[in-house]
Amino acid sequence: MSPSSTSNSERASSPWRLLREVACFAAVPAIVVFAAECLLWRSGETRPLALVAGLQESEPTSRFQRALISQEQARYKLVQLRRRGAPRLLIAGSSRVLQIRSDMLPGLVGTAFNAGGSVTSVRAFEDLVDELLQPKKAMPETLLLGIDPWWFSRRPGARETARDTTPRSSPLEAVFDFSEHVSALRSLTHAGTRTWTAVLSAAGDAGVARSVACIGVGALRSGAGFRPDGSYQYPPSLYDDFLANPVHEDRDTNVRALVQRGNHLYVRGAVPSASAVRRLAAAVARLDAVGVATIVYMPPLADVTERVLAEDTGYATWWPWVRDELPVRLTNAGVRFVDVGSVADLGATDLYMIDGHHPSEVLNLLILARLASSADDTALGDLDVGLLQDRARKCASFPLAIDAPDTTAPR
Amino acid sequence: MLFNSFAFAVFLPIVYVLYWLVARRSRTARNVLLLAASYLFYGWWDWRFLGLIVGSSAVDYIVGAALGSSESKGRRRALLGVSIAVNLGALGIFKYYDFFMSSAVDVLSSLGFQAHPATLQVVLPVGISFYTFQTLSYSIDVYRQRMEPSLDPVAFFAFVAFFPQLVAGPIERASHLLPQFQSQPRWDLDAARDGLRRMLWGLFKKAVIADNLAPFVDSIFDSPGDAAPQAIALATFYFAMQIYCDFSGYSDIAIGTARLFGFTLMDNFRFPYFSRGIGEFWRRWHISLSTWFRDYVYIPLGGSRGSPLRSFMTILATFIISGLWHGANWTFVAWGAFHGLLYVPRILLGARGPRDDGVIAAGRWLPGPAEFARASATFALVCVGWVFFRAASVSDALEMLGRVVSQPWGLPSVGRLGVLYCAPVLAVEWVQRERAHGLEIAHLPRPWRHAVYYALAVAIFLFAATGHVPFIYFQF
Repeated sequence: MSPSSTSNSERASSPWRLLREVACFAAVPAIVVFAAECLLWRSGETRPLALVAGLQESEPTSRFQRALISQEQARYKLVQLRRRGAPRLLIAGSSRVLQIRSDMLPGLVGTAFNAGGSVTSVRAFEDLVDELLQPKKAMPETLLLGIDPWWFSRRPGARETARDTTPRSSPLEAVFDFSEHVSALRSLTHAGTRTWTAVLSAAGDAGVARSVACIGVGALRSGAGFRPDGSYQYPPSLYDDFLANPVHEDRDTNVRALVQRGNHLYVRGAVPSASAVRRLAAAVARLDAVGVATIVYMPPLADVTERVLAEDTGYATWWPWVRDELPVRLTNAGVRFVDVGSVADLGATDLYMIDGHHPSEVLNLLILARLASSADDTALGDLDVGLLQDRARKCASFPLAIDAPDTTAPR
Repeated sequence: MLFNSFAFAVFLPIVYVLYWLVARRSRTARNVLLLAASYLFYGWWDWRFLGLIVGSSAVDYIVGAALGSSESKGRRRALLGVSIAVNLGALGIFKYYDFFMSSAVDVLSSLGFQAHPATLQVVLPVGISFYTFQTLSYSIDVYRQRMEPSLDPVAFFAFVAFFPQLVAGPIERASHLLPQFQSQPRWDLDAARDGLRRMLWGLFKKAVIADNLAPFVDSIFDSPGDAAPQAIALATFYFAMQIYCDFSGYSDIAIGTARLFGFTLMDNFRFPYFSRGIGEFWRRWHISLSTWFRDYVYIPLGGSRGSPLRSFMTILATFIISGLWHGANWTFVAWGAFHGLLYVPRILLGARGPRDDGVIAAGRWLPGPAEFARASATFALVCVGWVFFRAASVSDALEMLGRVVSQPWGLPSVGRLGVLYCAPVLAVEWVQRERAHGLEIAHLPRPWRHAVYYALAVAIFLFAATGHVPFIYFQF
């Protein structure tokens, strides 16, 4: 056998040949995956949070909501906070505080940031305080913390703990997690027309910018999402629904069903958690020590929700404690708690609630007016109470939002 | 690093390219590369435990070399003792210390004595049971003068740490694998292609079948209190499929990966659920471990020599030790003892019993009624064993089995979807039972082969359980 023929036959069956075969085999799926990933990138779905925050800074009307990759609300809010620098007023809490917009705070416009959605438990609040207390981090002048009743419940028989051992979120951002991409691409394979329309609409756009910049498939699909000030825009279809049928309904979450069925928020037979009060007070004290004034309040539940809770024997121990004793306990523990009262106490009705949990923008005007008059030695004192109340009055015909529904957003 | 992770998908092609760049030029460079890659693979999980592998390799390398130069029987025995003490000592500390301490405390408490166990609560290093047995077999074989000691430390260390089979086997014999590190690599395109097919099949079994059956199995076995008998039976069947697909899937990926580097690893599974008797089952299930126990425990203990009682005691002891190898829990001891008991009829029948050589229904589509009945009975008995293996405690296992036989059955109301996962694997493996693995389809026309590959790839993409589910045998 001649040397050249040996070398040819060796080459023909060499390890590189197998590599070529695998590459050829994988080329078709790789092209499909690459195309899908390009679409997701164009839609903003797979943009890292720092890029999203940058885009939102340059687009004041933008909104951000993912649908296929984890939303990572807490991480997103921290990234935004770091980029913006220290706000005068930082609003923290669960999704129940998300309807407070910077532009409805006369006296604080542009200097408030809503970190709502990122603090859904006492543990999450402790994490936020840890983050704020890190050197060179954005330290607000005033922190407005909206708490939820279920932060202070525990399962019957469960032990009180000094520390919550729930694992913290992954150190890796979701868009850098391979399994998130697999899951997103998998969702695309059985996504409906609306999702595909949303994804493909981004392909034809110059970047993610449009009249209302929608970043992420969720935003493109429904027009909902987080605004640059951290507040949340509900899908315009929700407002359309209210206009067509102006009664109180659980438009976002079926809260009555949650209460009656019991779930991770409403634990039937729950008992009060004294350790949660202690831990919250300790975290607030750490902020006080560095000069951050912390005002704590409980955004009201819909009156109908409160009634269901009061009547259901499954909550007979816990709910009366939350309603009557928790404010006293918090105050005694050194927390500056402002009782904003119920929806009716605020002079409103359940029409001012998005659902049984979430106060609307207009109701938040009334809540802020009450907070401002009780905490006038903080940044909240810069709010013009009269102006807030006046604006709320003007919105009485459409009590869900301070603007008329946005007709430019996708539905 | 897990085979079913993104990290491995990046790691493997890089190592493959680097390996074949150096492999034909220098044997030492090739082994150095494999050693570095293997340590990276293992250290990805927890680099601190690399010291254990290095230590175990070093001890056995030195012991092997010393055995090679020693003629004195006493010294040779002492050297072997060192290897056994170090390897089993590490295993004892990391795997069994806490178990024996707490068991001792339980015994003392039952006798009325108060004792407080000083447990270590250490994490079990992944793969320790596998690589210690592998190095141990080397020392024993050199001691028995069945092989020459290795004088190439790099080759020896690479043999111990070879990444495809480092953490969950197959537990290779030094006499089979070590020479492959000491010679030029053998590239065989067809073997490498078959390796890739085997990897694909292994990944499918692991990611699609085993991982999707796991939640239902866990839900029943982790809280068996309210489970109905039909749910327990279904969960047991699913666990049988889960552990088979998980572990044989791992072995297929390991064997396939080794093939890409020109290495041949021993088979670990040969369609065990089609066995017609318990003896055949153990010739087809976790072959590398069962032959290890046969060669290094069962035969030295006397094997089949002596009276039937003696023979039974030897088998029972071997299976109990094998059970303990799987984990420090009485459930594994019970599982081992149960399999030992299953050998009683075989011992009593002796040469009169069926031999069960070859494959069930060889050359036919379906088995005869007798073969079918024996295979079904064997599978059912193996499933009873799995209840002990998977249950949290022996009392849980007995309670579950008691419920299955004593309570009336209905139709399962949950978990029925799992049958859709099991059926294709059983069907494919039945059709392929006379071949080396489920995806040995080199004989099919190319378009058919490619259609099968794409179908499996799409199935993995669409149905693989999300999140990384570790291989069951990692915990052993």
